[in-house]
Amino acid sequence: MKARVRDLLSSADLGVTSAVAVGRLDLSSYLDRDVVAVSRDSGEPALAVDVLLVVAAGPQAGRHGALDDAVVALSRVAPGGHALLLLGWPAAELAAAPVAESLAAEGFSPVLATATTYPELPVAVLVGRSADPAPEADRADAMRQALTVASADWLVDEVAELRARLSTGGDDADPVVRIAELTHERASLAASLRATELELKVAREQVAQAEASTAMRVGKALVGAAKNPRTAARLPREAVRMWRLRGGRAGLAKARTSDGVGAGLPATGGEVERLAAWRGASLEPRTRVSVLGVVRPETESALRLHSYLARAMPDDALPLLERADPDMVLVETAVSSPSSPWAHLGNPAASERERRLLALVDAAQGVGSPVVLWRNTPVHETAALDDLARRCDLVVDSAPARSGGTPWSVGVSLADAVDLGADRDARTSVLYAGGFDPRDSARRRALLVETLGAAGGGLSIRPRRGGAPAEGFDEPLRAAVGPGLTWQGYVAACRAAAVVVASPFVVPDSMLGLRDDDLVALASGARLVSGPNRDLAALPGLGSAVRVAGERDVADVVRAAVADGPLTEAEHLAVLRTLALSHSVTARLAELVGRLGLDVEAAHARRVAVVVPPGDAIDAPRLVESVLRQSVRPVEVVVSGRDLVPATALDELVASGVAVRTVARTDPSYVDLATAASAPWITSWAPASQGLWTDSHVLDLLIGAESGVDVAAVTLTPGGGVRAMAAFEAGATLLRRALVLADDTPSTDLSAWSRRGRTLVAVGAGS
Amino acid sequence: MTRALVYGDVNLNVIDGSAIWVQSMVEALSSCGVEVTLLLKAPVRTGRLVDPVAAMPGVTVVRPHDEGMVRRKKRALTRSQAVEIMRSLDGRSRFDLVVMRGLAAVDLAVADGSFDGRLWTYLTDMAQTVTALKPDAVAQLERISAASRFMLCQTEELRSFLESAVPSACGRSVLWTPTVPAPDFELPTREPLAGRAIRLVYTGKFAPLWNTLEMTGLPARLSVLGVDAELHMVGDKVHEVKADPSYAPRMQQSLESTPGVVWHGGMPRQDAMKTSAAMDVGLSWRDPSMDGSLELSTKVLEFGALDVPVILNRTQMHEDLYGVDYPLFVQGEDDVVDAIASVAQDVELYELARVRCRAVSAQYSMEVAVDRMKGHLARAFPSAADLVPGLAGRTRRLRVGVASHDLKFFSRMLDHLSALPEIEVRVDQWAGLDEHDETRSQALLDWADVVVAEWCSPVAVWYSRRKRPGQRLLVRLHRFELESPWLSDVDIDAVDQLVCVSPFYAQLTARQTGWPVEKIVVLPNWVDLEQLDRPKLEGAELHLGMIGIAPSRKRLDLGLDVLEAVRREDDRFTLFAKSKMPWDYPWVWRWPAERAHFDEVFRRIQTSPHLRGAVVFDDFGADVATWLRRIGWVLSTSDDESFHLAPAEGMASGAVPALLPWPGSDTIYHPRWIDDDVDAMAERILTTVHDGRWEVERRTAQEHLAASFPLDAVCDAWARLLVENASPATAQGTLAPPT
Repeated sequence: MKARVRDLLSSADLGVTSAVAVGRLDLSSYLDRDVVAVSRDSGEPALAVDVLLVVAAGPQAGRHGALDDAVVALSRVAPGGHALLLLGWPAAELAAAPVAESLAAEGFSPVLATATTYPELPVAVLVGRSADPAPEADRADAMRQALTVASADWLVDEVAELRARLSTGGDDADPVVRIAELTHERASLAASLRATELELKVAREQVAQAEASTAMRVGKALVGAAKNPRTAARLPREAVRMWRLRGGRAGLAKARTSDGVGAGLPATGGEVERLAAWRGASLEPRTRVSVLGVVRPETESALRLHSYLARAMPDDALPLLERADPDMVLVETAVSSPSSPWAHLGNPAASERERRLLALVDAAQGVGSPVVLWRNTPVHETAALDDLARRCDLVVDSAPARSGGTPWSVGVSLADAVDLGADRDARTSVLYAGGFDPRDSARRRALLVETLGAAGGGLSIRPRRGGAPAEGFDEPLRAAVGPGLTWQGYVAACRAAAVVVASPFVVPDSMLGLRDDDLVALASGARLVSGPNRDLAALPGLGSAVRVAGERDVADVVRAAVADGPLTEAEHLAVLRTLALSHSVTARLAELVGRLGLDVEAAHARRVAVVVPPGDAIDAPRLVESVLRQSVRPVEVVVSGRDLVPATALDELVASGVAVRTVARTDPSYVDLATAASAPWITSWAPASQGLWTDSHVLDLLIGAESGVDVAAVTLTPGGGVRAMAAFEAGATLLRRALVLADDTPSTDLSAWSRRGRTLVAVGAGS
Repeated sequence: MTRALVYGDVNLNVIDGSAIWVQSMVEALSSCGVEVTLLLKAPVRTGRLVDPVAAMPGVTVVRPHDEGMVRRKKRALTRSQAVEIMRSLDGRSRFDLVVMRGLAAVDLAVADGSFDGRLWTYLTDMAQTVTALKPDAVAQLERISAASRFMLCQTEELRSFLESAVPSACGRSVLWTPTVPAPDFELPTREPLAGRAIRLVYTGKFAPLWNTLEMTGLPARLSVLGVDAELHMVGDKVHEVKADPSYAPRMQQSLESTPGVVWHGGMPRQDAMKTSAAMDVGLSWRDPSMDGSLELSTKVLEFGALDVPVILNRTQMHEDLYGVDYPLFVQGEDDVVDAIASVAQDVELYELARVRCRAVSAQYSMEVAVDRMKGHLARAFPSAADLVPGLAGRTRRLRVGVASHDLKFFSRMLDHLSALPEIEVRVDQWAGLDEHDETRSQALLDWADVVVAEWCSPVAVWYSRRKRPGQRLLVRLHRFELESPWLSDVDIDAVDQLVCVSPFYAQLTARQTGWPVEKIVVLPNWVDLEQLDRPKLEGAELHLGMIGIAPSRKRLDLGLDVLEAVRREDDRFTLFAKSKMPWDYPWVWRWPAERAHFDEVFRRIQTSPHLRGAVVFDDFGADVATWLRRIGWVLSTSDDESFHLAPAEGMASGAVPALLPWPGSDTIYHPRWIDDDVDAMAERILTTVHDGRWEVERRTAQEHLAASFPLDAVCDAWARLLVENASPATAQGTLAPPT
């Protein structure tokens, strides 16, 4: 199916904020400003990671632009960044053109390739420069495969159009001239059709060849996978992706509903795939967990930075499952809320929703993707989903004490919650993000009124959209009621508040569990006042960041919290440590992956390599102890062989599962050592002068890394807070390895990174 | 007089919910003047229930064990015996309706086939969850529904569930809620709560799912809060739990020796009710695993009728009935303690709970049941003689022949006409537009007083050229026929009335054919308000709906434009399209232009930031009434329509219609529902919702519908048309009510 540039960009969730079009053709008009802002090319040698480069190339350099020129332009794309290439080769010739090799050599992998509606530029490919690239040959293979399939798609459409035009007769039986015109036109069309069909045949053969090679790899992979019974039904990622791209669907075709309940539902394959044609597929190396989510937009937002997420609709869940090939399927019961595509799931008046979900569960399990049901709604709202729960591989609960289930929620995305530019003194308001719930007992509502009444003049009551309304408040509280908050609005309001009053405040049975809303408030740096909540109270490291009020002392507790104001820098860092370890999205995803026994690395983004700069002899015992004591342990240590005496000095690390990489070159540079590492982050260990690291050394650095969307470097400072910096010295610093390796970003001058739009973060507990 | 046979697969010697149901059903029928025959399943051992039933006017109780119908006089009827006896009774004198309860018994009766079309089926023992409802169970329910005149559903939830799983139940499923008999004793006056212990009461069996063991701990827990409480427990059946053999002894001991617990043991139902009536709060706190039930506890309703407010689980169904702010909803033991303590200490709160319970139970009184039964009887056994003098006093029934190649738009009217006692209906079903059995058509022509040609097709040509003198020919023209080649072959002189569905098409027909305007009349399509008027689900005002998206002239793309516009301002809006997909229609999908249209539509839905995740394609199906419960707006954005039933069905359901001005739309719908363009429609939707006017608008729309083309009125008009001409003035103006 053919697409326009705007479709391609809309369907690929890249985190791109603007686009720059370069080259001979003026491509800016192809871009839809609703989808992405188009900015002028200022000619800087390196583009920021969120800037998309758009360029064309084709066989006629004067018309399309030369491939070599495009490659030069592509070198400006940062690791982690993306580019869109519009290719002018006729579809039948594209596979033979040297495009795939050139792009792979430049470090790019394909994200999505498609036939376009532009006759001059029949194929477009969206590519990403991975910070952690797969082998070049594999990327070239994948690129060639993607271009071949897109070319074949173009030809299929072209043949269909030609056939349609041929079959359409003239509508006005006007005179002889018109008949002659038509005759000529049809003869011409017939000739074009024959030629195009011939090209299509060749293209199909090319796809078939790739299929054969894929099949071979799949066979080999299955033998390997059989060693792990839990993943035996799964195919290796790359092979599956190639197989999926060419439309293979052996897995789902074989998937059967276990009891026929899903019978009669739309099957995958055929026309129904049109409902998901623009979504789900990705060719990028998988360094994150892939999740097919029956989830709300806010959960999608929380997961997006930490996983590959495809959000399923009731009508496209099955084709999307096939395209996305997820590691797991995550279903949250909160999708049953009104205005959701899955609204009223669990209500007998919408039982077809449940049937569709059951069909998805069956299909996912049929291809080896486990299904997790996350119950995060009041029990009574989805009581009818108990049967569904029994069919899922894992059931987790936001309020486990009520259901007797396993506690889990998606957790906090630190990048959303932490304000890197926060001014503690400017945070003065007291936020209650909730309503006056008519379901609450009169006693609880009275307690809430007393609580809020003690909050003082800075109180702001903001009902949550879709939640209980705030109409029931009397004056003076009524005057504090503001407009409703979306999820994003709630996060922003927390970042501006000194104190957040938990909502719901008085927890029935005190068993509601850890609520992400409360954790977000804490992560933002606000002090939290809550009614009795035994799970919250049991969290370690919170100190007085949370003040728990009983019925008798509620007013005093609120007044004390307001007097304390927002968290101190030390409190904030302590809170963030607790959250990052166990309650961040990364930690929670890793927990799910662990529970499911998946062979997937959920915390890839937390992999840290310790690089020992070449120079003096290494104080091995101190290094070993520093590494092994970390609450988030580095995965590898890279040293110069010359400095490691004896060569077995770091064997204890190896025995503890930390890889030790030794660079044998005589006089290696820091970049040489960084090149030898594989983790996305590197941090340095000073060979001689370095003291022992504290347990939280790496954790604190990672907190800085996760507190922004595109953090490039983190340092630990004696000063307090988690904040963006314009510059700092490379010292106890965490660096994004891809940037260290990039020629244009010398890691010795972090201020240069900052000037180029990279985010630098400093983390400190303050005095 | 209407005659009914009632058989419940239940033992009337044991007074439980199902036995009370039988009693209530017979009483309701009897109160409506129906002659009722009740067949008993079990030999009578006590007359406590049977005797009052037998004393009701027009009721005959058949006691097969006493009347020599079975050999084994001590054993309850097997189901096949029951069906056999029912058939025998029917053979003696045919029943107009046959009420049955019990899945297995009904299944046998359906297999027997003797009662097809006359069954009024009531099922509570069917699978009630999606996973439990396996394909064979669906097939069984399909058979049963197809053979039933009505599927009587205990709750709206059960009706929705049944219809969404069993297509043939759609249109046949009606509510028959539990009935709570009024107490036949004077309710005691309870002294004020202040200064005394609050008295809690539980009646029934003692079992884990009913939380009876936990209940015995309530007085102690309440006393910690300073609330003095007594728990009165009535019943003598302690459940033996296989998985927990210690349960029964623990329960027994708790009943016997827990301070604050008064165990009354078992007592007759009437005594139990009297005991309950003297208490302050009833307990119906259950295990959460029962929260998904589609049935309503009659015990809960009984407490209300006794003026005793009741503690019950917060469930969706209970919230719908009692209101979200009902103070005695619970979700766990702490809630129970909290709720009791609240009402014990707050007189106003107690009163609120009491009044709410009383009001809910009043909806389940016998008076309400009788009114509902009258409605069902009127629907099943209509009469036109009072409304149409021409049908009264005839020596024989009017013979009406209906001929068509496609009856899907006339089937409901056919059902109605067939049910009229003054009319006899026969059908000449053509195999294709121009394909039929001439012998059969000729037979119909020879037999009928009136012929109705559904569609102005070759059927109309054939009959118009052969009509007998004195015979009446009515032809119904929809839309596509206007462009057809055979129109000129219709002998218009032989046609008595040409019926169009809207003034616009009536006038267009007159213009294009030149046929006499006095013959061209309008009888609109009909909408079954009674079937469609159901409670909306939460958030419906944010849900836009479209029914039918193909072919492209239905203009889903314009619907997307509207959605995009509203979501720019408020991203809570979602569009649900109930339709076959375009590729399900070969006649649509073979056209490249149609494919291109829908490919573009699907591309937009997946790539537009305002549409992504906001459009859902729901399954095509007959369960429109259930589906509409979640829809607050029904869009009609077509290029052209003859009538477009979707917005009308939406109006009946309590949704607000939103139409673009396709030609003739203003001759069917009021201008307030028609917007000039997409932007105006989006603006109306947004302002209506944001200004809090959706509730008012939807009620207005429903009133408009009721005043325009409700099923009953159109049925009457058709009955009249069989014997007398309608006014050509019907082809003028608009069907919409005046402002």
